[in-house]
Amino acid sequence: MMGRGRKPRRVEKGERAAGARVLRVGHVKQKKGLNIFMAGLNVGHGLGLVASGATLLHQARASSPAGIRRPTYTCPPQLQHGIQKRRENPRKIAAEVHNYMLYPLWSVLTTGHRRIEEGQYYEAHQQLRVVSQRYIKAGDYNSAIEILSSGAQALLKAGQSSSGGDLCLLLVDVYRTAKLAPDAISKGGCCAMMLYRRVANSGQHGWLNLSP
Amino acid sequence: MMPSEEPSRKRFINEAIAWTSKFGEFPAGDPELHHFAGNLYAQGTETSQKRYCYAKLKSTVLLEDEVYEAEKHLILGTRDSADVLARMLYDWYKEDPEVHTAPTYIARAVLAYLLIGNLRDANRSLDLFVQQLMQDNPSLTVQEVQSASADVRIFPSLPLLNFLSLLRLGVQTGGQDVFRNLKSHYATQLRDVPWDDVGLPSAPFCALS
Repeated sequence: MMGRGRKPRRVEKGERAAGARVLRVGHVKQKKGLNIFMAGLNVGHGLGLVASGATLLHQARASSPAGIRRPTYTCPPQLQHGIQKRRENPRKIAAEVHNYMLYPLWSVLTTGHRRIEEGQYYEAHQQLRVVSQRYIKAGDYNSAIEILSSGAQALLKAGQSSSGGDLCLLLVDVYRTAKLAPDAISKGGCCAMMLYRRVANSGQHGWLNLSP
Repeated sequence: MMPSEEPSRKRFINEAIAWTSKFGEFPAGDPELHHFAGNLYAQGTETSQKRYCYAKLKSTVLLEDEVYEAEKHLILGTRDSADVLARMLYDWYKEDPEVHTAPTYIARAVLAYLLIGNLRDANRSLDLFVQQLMQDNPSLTVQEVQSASADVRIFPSLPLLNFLSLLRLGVQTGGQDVFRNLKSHYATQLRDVPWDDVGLPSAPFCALS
């Protein structure tokens, strides 16, 4: 089994790892890549709000607007450095296409988030809409829910209530199409959306903003 | 909150509840979701209250629409919803300069809970409201009537509040004739309030017996 494919490799006595770090005998060297990426995806809906009953409200309250983070999906290893530069370099663009095939959800989410950060709300909204529809047609409801909930949260956080609200409605549509029974995670997703909506609205019109 | 934002937000909440009622175990929608939505509406009134106080834009501090929406969800909510509802109705009542209107506010919770046969939350919300009322108005005269089965607080100045307390006792113990007696006894006061619209005539008794 030595050196074949993705299997973890047992280090022999006296062997030095590629990174010049001496590994102890019996230390299992893990190959980074797809497995870790897949594990990173199962974080529930965006924030991973898993709660029930009264704790639902409490937890949702505890995650203040400052606590809203970009989802921490593991990105493909060759892109971990220099994400900014890859757009100019044709070889890196090829790599992006390659990544789109290997890590579709990751690329959609990061592209969407980048657009939202750059202020291209309309483009981000349309892209997330179209891509989620594609996933729904393919029957991959989990990915669609992931895209919609994380995109809607980002849009609402940016104060784009109408496009964020549109994605929220799509999300409930997916719940219906998937015939998803309401459980702690899906209900928590809904509650989070309502809360973000409120935060987004009150952020737009602060206490001292005199416009009615 | 922006009025133009209201429709899509309300639509999202309604859609989510429609989804839980279709695929969940509760035909009226998931209680936790109802509780959460009602809480949000009730809090929304709080923030707008503060905002308007600071900006001195309006003299009315509670937005009626939000109170009605909150009420609609809290009635179908969880065990904790009764507290939120009673507190919200009390805040709403406090804006009213006239003391004797208190019963019309809490009746919105008590009658609605009785209509859906939820005696526990009807009691809870009424108790909480009366407790707060007595705290804020120490000068209010109270007569404690104690019997073997139940204690009732009677406020001579608030006949409709007495009607509500006796009604919930009657629902627990008596039948239709208790209710008819009660109604004829308070007939003059009941004429002033539109409670017949909410199905007061006999619905609480039908629901429970």
